[in-house]
Amino acid sequence: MIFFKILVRLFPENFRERYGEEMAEMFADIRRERGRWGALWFYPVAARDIVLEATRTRLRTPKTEKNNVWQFVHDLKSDLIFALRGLFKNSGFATVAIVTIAVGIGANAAVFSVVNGVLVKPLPYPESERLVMIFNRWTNLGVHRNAQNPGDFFDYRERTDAFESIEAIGSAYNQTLTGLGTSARVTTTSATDGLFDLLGARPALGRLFEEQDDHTRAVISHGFWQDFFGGDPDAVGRTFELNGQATVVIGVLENSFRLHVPAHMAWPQNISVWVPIRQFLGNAGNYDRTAHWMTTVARLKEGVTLATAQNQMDRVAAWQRENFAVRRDRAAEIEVVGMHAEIVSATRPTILALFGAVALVLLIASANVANLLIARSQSRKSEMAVRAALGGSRMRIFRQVMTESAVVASLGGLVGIGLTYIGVRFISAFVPADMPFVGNLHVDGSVLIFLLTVSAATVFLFGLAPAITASRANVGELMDSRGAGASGLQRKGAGGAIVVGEIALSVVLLIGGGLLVRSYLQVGKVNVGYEPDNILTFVAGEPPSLYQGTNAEKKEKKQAYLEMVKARILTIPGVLSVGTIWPTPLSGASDGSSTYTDNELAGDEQTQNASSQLITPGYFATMGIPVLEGRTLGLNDGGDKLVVDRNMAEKMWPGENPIGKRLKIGWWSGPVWGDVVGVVENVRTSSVTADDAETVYRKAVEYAYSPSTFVVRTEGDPAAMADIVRSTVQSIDVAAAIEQMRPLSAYVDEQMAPLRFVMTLITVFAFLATLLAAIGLYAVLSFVVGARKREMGIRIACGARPEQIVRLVLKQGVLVALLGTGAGAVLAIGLIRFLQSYLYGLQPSDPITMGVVVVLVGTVTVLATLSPAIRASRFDPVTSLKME
Amino acid sequence: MKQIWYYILVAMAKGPCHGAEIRRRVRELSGEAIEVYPAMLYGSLDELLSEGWIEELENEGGGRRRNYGLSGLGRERLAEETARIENVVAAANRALGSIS
Repeated sequence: MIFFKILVRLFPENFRERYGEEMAEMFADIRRERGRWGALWFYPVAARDIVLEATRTRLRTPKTEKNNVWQFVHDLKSDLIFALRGLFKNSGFATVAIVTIAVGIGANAAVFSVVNGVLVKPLPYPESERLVMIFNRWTNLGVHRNAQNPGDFFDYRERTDAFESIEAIGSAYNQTLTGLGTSARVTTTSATDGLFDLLGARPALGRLFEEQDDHTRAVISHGFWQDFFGGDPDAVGRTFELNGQATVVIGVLENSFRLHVPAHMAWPQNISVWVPIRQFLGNAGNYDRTAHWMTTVARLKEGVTLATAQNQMDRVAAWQRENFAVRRDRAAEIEVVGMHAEIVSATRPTILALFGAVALVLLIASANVANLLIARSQSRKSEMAVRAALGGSRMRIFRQVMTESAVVASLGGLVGIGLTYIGVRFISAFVPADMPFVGNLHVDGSVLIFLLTVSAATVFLFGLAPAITASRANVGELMDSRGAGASGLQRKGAGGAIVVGEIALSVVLLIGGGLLVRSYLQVGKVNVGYEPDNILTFVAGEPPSLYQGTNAEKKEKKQAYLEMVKARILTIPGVLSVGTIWPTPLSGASDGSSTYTDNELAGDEQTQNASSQLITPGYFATMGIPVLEGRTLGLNDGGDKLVVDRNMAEKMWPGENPIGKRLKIGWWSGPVWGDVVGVVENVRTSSVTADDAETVYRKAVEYAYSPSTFVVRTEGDPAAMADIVRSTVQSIDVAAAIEQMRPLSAYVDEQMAPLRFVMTLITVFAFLATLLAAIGLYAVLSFVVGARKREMGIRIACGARPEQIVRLVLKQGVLVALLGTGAGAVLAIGLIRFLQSYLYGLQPSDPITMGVVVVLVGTVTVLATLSPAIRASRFDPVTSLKME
Repeated sequence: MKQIWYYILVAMAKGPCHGAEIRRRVRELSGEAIEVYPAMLYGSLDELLSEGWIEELENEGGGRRRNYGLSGLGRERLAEETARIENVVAAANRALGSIS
């Protein structure tokens, strides 16, 4: 029978259902009649019979379907004409519905452009899905995503085979460029020879790295070539100096090439000069295993999974722990992560939270239009019932209402395209500059396809309920209901429920928005420990004359230079004080932290991590950082005198006087001892919101090559002083390169950018949502009041006073609002954890935010309810009863 | 009209019957010359139903099998076709007669 069961599947399903069983019986009968040998002959014949007949049956069906298609097209045409005519006649309804849907769709498509540009689009490198990044993890120190040392890099290359290639980038730092007629600070880095090939970079001019190149050879970026060589086609072979080192151009990169790295690496935006990494790696067989300054990028072999690569790296990590005590102490692991995922990892939750929030707006918009359509189909109930009675099939009526929804959605989508462009502009204005791939933010094909899909989806989202309601209409009900009275009351249930849902969703957004606004205000009021207003900052590259001589001479020259610049700046009228620091506070740049101990014999695990800040005299005074104990660093202090912050003092010597204590500093050139001479108040220099990190301040001049950021306290607007400060510094040496001249408050502002971005968008969504929900409430109550005209008339006729009628309607509105707010608050507490990372010093259940939202929703409810309520109180009993 | 349809209609003219019975009657009518296979039979029944020439009847015996009978239209069509065949047969006989 298997033979039959398989073949019978050739028939259409309905045919099988109807005749299958009897056919099977007959089939069995015939086989029995034929006997064993006859049956052998029977099978092919029966097969032929089934195949032929099944084909005929299948061919027969399309004939009727073809008619259906024509009928369908015809119906569609008349539905469309009908829908357009209806919308045109009812232009008020049409405008509200189309604008509502357009706002929902436009806002969603605009946010999708961010999702698409940042999260969906692959990295601009060939076969980028196979690119991974490799990091160290110091499990015992709680440090993730740490850089590598040269030893690590060669371990990876020698001890794994999951990768097609493994390449490395050195750290990025700014150097002073001279020798091209001007002096400037440019961003430089180093890389292995194969990095460009790995990332698919090609030279626009000259060539890329080859084995014979050392650090005196450089590949330059397209931008650098334009800026400093004026796009000279003969740039290859020309020479410039980096921090005094003569460097020869061997190639120019294509314009399109950008190196994208994760935000946690805190890299500058664009690298101008690349030099080969080779001579920084040490000697083969004896690679440096102390300083971690390299980042590894690798390409997985075709077909190799991330898990396999991770497995191999786990084995490398185990081998390293076995062979190196430091790795054992730190419980070192190796992390292999997808490059794209890693680059967008910090931004992903934010973007998805925004996407979720904007989806709520669309949901509310759709609910509103559904409500409007139900109300409309209600008022057309008699029309529908008559059509049904005249033989209009439910399907036809259903389809007609759906067509109307489709027309609304299409027109909404069309208007939505325009709103999408505006939305993308709006988002671009607020998007934080350090968000990855901000350049990808525009309306493209994928965004339009998304828009189309969402428009189509909304047809079902808001069209289904009204279409079902309408297709259920029948004459009997119409006759029973004696006009709209009963059906009006009936439908209040559904409409009310929809509005409760709308209010709940908008309350979620309002609470989210409210919390973010509160956070923003809180962050703005954070005491960072210094006064960031009226401070001008800039990074000054030392003139090349400082790069000559012995180390001791360089230090001396540098100190003299810094003090001279400070003295000159102090002569500018309007300048109150000046000092220097490195790294620039709040700039995101970090000189990394060092380890400290006061115990000569301490191992790795007994050290205290602290942020290292290199300063010169005048820094604390300029920033207004209070000195708590001892003194600050003076002109005559060397690198052996230290100032610590209160955190560090309390961590190292709780309850003791820190002045005079000694600290061993784990410095790259070997441990250094220093004496604590002062304690200053904690300040926030890495981030406005991060908790204060332990900090140790040292004299900048000890480290000849590290740059210095000048902080200048001014009487008035620091930006206005920029030009005179610049010319003053360059009057000492024209070759002094000045970069990043900006008020310190600009860094504070930049820190607030991500929070401001999320806050602005969520708040805008929340207000859109509330507006839509209010319109929904107004529409439902207007409808209910209209439907209860007769009842109201009777009440008034029986002596009800107008204020009693107003109260009656208001009560309904308030009930709906209360239910919605309650549901929304519960939902919000569940959902707001997605925004948790943006909440500063607040709980999701923050009572102030909740209070404001309740008052806001209450006010909006009363406003939306008042007009229908007053209308109801003015019903003339005579006319409203005459209607019947 | 397709030959198989004609046989089915003739088989039903004797009275309502179910699929297996139709098969039996058709074989009998054709002197065992025509074997009706299941797919062909039920495919034809389906078509005849949709043409409205036969109709499905209440199942009196209560069995699982469906019973079919001629509709008024089916009866008319059967009569027309029979008349047409009679004409053809008569013409053929005349032609055969004139030859012989």
